[in-house]
Order: sequence, then structure tokens, then C-alpha cells
Amino acid sequence: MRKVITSLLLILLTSVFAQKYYVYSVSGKVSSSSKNVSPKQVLTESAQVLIDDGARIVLLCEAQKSMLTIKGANKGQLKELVKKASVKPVSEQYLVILMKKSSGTAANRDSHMQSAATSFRDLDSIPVSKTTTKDSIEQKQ
Amino acid sequence: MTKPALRYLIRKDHLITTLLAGALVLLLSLITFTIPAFNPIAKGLRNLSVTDWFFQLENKYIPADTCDQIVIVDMTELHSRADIGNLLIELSDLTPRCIGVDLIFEGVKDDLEGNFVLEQAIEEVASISVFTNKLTNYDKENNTFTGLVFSYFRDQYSITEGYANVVDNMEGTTIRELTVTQNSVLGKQKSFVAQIAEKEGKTATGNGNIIINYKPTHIPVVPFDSLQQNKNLIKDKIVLIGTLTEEQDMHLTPLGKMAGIEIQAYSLLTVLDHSDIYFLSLTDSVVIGLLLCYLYAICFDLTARFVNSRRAKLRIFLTESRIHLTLLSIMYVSAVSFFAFLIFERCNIYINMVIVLAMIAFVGLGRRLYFATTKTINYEQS
Repeated sequence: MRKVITSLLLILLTSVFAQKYYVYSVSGKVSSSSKNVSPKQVLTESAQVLIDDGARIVLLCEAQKSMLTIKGANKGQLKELVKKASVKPVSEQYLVILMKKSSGTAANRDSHMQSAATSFRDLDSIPVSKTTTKDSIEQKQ
Repeated sequence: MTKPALRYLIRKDHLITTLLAGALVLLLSLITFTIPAFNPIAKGLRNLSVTDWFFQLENKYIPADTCDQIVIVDMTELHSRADIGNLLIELSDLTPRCIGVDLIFEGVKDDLEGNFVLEQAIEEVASISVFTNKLTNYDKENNTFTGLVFSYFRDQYSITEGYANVVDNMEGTTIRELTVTQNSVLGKQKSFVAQIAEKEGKTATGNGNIIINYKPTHIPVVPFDSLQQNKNLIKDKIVLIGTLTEEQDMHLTPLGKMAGIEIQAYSLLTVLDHSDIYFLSLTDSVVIGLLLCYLYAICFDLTARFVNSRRAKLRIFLTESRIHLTLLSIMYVSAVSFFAFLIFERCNIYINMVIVLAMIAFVGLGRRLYFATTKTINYEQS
């Protein structure tokens, strides 16, 4: 009985104090326990992670205040994979910004200086091809 | 100046008329800016500046100088990161002095090949380039921005970044000012323009806003596919890369609809040439307004004397039609506006004309109120 309680306590303590990693971004195929890993997900260091060739995962570690990037074909426990990662230390404030940005939980209704004189080039902004102009209201003479 | 003339110029009724005009404007401002029902008027007045009209006049009638410091590369049609990366490499070969990239590459996304080309280009141009980011989530209590939108490679390469935020508060108001620094949770952040100016060895100082100088200037534009044909134009210049015809990046300026990259170019020129417009303080504008009101009160009095000295028929016509007062006000306001424009054009000094013209507009009422009160008092005494 004592052994069972000790084991349970150990498991509980390990899960509470285990290093946790917040997934900031994923490009390509990265999976854990046969499920695709996606941004905003939290992975523990015991998680089994499979990173396909050409894929990349960027993790945020609150405890170490760092940003970890793991690139290329890799497989194993996250604890082992982070040893191969390129690590960039980040400040606490920046970490908060990155997590808020990723989770989209920073709503503030103050409109002070919220417009910017710049353009965005994320892939979602690729325009429709010139031949498909169904949604265009521009009339060519 | 003779003693009677001096005595005429310094008279109690001119002074009281002037003070009454000032008091009426003050009363009207208090009503407009404190009673919530007048919010739309207050909002409209806050977004009113005669500088817009001055800049429009200058751009219409004064020939534009060609800017020899800045060149804009228009890449509106480029969307693929690989294409933009190749453009940066091609541009770097033409040895510009500095490259300002007015684009945010948000998110890694899945275009690994495109990202790779772009990252190679970033590595090559990082030392001479400045990239934009956007400050978000303004915390009014602490006067701090708590969020930031930036390019995904920010943490991989040592790039210089500056915020591209403009002072329009999402209200579609006219963009007249630029800011140099803003507080954020990451500390003091410099604007895109301030960072480029710093690379050029010029420091934009101050926490306050700077009036963007929209004086007539022709900034050369090179299409993204004609870099080689314009290599002499690019060599040793500050090159700003951005979109000139993208609807999402269009803003309202004193010269009308303008692309964000053009606003950045005008802002940069303002900082580089230290040619920002000096905005006279509210107190200075009020003092100038009072002096002009005093002069207007004298003109009013002279006109009244002129009318009284005419023959009966003309006097009756002028008194009844008040056409001389209308003509006087048109001429006086035109003269004041013209001199204000000259001061603006020659000395880069802007007097708050909204205040000055509002005060002048109330001189007539102030004079009538003064004489009505004096007559009432005299009647009671007699």
C-alpha cells in the first residue's frame, strides 16, 4: 500500500513539476502521440514528438524564459529533443507578448495609434489569380 | 504718431470688444467640449486644421522639388516571400545606403521554400536595413503598448525594427503627425522613421508629436521589376520598399488618399531635413488672435465712422444692407489667412488658425453687445 501511495505521489509530483513547453508555431508536420501538434498546445517534456523532414517547431518555455526552435527530422522525448534545439533567451515581458499574440487573448478596445502605415505579407494575403475576378467590383473599360 | 491718433488706437471700447470676442469663443468652446450632446462637433473641430489647406495650396501652385535622398520601390504585386527575398537580394547588389522594408511578414506559415529564400536575403541585408512592426493593445492608464505584431524572423536575425503606427486612432482622421518613440512593455520603442534616420546619423528627438511636412516634393518611384534600369537612382540612396497601391495600406492625409509608404517617406524627409512645422502653442495663438481682434475692432470702428460721414441716402443704404461689414470681414479674414499662409510657407510656423478665425468671427457680436450694454446703461441713467 505504501508503495502504491509513494508511486502515485511521485507521478503527481512529476506531472506538476515537469517542464512544460508552449507551442508558439509549427511549420510542416509535427506530431505527438499520433496527433498533429498545433500552436497554443502545451507539451510536457515527457511527450513523444515526431518532427518530419523540413518541418520546424518553435516552443516557449516559461520557466527558462526562452524560445526554442527544433528543425528537421527528429523523433523522441521532448526532453531529449530540446537539447538539440537552438535556444534564444527572451525577457519575461517579451514572453508574455509572444504568448498573448499566439493565443489572441489581448483584447483592448483603446484605439490610440492602432493603425499602421505598413503592409502585411503573410501567406493568407495571396490574392486571387488575375483570371478569377468574380469577387472584384472593379469594372474595366 | 500724433497724440490723437494714438489715443484713438488705444481705446477702451476696442479693448472691451476684443475681450468680449475672446470670452464668447471661450464660452462656445466650453459648451462644445463639455456637453456630451456636442460631441460630434467637438470631434469635428479637433480634426480641423488649416495646415491641410496650406499644404494643398502649396502642392497646387508651387513646383515640386525632386527628392535626392529617398527612392520608393513599389512591390504591391509581389506576395510570395521568395519573390520579395529575391527583390531584396537584387536591391542589395545595387548598393543602396539604407533599405527600409515597410512590410511585416507575420507568421512562419508553411511556405518553407519561400521562407528560406527570404531568410537568406534578410541575412544579407540585415546590417543596412530597417523593418517595420506594429505596436498593439494600448494601455491608457500606463501609457504603454502591451502587444507587438512583427515579422517571424525577428528572433533569428539581428534586425533593426521600428513601429509603423500612425496617429489616426482608427477614426479615419487625417494623418498630420509622426511620433518618434512610444512606450511598450519591452521598453521605449523607436518608430520606423526614427530608426532609419538613426542609421543616417541623424537623431529624431522628443516624446511629442512632429508635424509631417507635406510640402511639394517628388519622391522617385521604381517598380519592383525595373531595378536594373534605375540602378543609378538607387545607388547610395535610402530605399523604402512597400506597397503603393494596396487598399489596406491607404490613409487619409492633407493631400488626400496616400499609401503608407509615402507617408513614411514624407515623415522621413521631415526628420532628415529637420523641416518639421513649428506649431505655435495655444497661448501664443490666443495672444495673436486677441491682437488681430483688436485690429479688427479698430477697422470696424473706422468703417462705422466712414458710413456715418456719408450723405443720408448712402448712409441709409449701407446701414440697412450692412454690405460694408460683409466686405470688411471677407477682406480682413482673407488678409489674415494670406499672411498666415506666408508665415507657414516661408518660416514653417503654423498659427492655430481655427482659434484665430473663430475669435475674429465674434468681434462683430462683441462690438454689438458692448454698444447695446452702454446704451442700456446710459438710458437708465438719463
